[in-house]
Amino acid sequence: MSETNCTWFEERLARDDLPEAERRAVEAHLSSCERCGELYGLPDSLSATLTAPVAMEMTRTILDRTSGSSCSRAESRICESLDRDPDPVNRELLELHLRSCEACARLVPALQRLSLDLPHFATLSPDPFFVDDVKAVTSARPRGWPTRLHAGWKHWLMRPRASWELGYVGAMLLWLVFGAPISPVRGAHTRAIEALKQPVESIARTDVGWTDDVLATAQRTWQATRGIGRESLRGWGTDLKQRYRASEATARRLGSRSLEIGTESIHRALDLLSAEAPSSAPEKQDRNSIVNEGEDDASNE
Amino acid sequence: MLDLATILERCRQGDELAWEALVRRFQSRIYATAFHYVRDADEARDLAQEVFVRIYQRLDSARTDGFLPWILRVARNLCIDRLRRTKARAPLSDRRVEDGVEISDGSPGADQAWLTNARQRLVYRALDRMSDKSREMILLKEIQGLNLKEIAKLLDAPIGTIKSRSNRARLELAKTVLTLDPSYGA
Repeated sequence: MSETNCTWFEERLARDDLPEAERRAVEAHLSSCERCGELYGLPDSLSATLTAPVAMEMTRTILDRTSGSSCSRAESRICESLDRDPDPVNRELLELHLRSCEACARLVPALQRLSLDLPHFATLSPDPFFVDDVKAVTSARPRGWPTRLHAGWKHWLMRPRASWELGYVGAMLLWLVFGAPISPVRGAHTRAIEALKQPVESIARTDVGWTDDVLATAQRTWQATRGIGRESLRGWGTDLKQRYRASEATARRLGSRSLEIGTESIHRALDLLSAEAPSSAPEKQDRNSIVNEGEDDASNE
Repeated sequence: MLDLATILERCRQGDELAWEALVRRFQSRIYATAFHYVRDADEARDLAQEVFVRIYQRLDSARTDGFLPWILRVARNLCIDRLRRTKARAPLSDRRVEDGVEISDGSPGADQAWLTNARQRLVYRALDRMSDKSREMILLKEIQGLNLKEIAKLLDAPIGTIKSRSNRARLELAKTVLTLDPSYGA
């Protein structure tokens, strides 16, 4: 075979669109020319030994040793191709993979079927009374900012972390009241705990004025409560007024009784103190007069 | 069919008929969404009702565009709150999916009849085996048809995360269905 024939053969070897006559001539040259047979016949003979399963196994082995399995990429391409048409290159690459990977190939029809089946789950009819129930619930609720405020507040409280937030705010408030340097009652809790640890007698002995303060505060509170009650009920019906008077009389009796009990308790405590410390007798006298005055005021009321 | 903007406007004016129309239009979607979350027909009904009460209270802030994502968001939040509160009850996997579907209706409508289809029961069973996150993605994207942007806004997550989560969920569902029935889709 001449050199020209070999050149002619090589020019036509890579072409797919050869006329039938030329294709036969190329095949004839390949089988007759020793040089071209060695050069270009080798791949054919090699591929003939690679059966499809062997080729697939070989591909898998090479991928495992290089880039890893391409199935995950193929799976994401399959999903993307369901959402929108892939570009031609991606489509062809995917098709090549699907031809050789049975697992991925099975996913395609399953995913396509799912995309048809799943939208049917979007609606599910409740019972026929559902609308009436919703109307009954909603028509009873006026819309507007108070409702929304109430709903918002309720929603806020129902959140799982609401308790945590409330705890945080509470802790901050406690710190501001009792721990902040600018707080007027800073350290009050410490003093209170210390006072609780001391015996009652020592508190009464060292801080004589506290019972006077308590009594005076009780009197003022009583008078203020009574005044508020009168103000709030002024102008109401006679029936209400009578009820108020009856309740006022009851409250007065209760107040007097409470004062009596309180006075008695204080007397007992002071007696105990005077038994221990004779010097505190004048103070007892003073407190007696204060208590009696308060009692008189209450009964006059 | 009346457009949503008109119905919403009438609802804001206090038209009870418009409100009824709105409830009728969205009730099956809300009920289905609640059912997918809680897997219990009675509870789903209660939740759906609560969703509509919530919508009614906030009608003034409802917008026509993005109305469906908004009501689905309300439904989702309520369902998740309910699930958190009732976490101590029996795990979902202990219950059969068909139980909920059968209980949900004494007189089967078109949707329930559809659910009795064997193929749909298979899909339902596969959905039941999925993780909560994956099932939620399937519910929002494949079932309710929200787009990735809407889901990202609803779940407060980046759109790329939602996209990959959605793909993973779809693949998980497909593989689960194929495990249950290898002939599905063939």
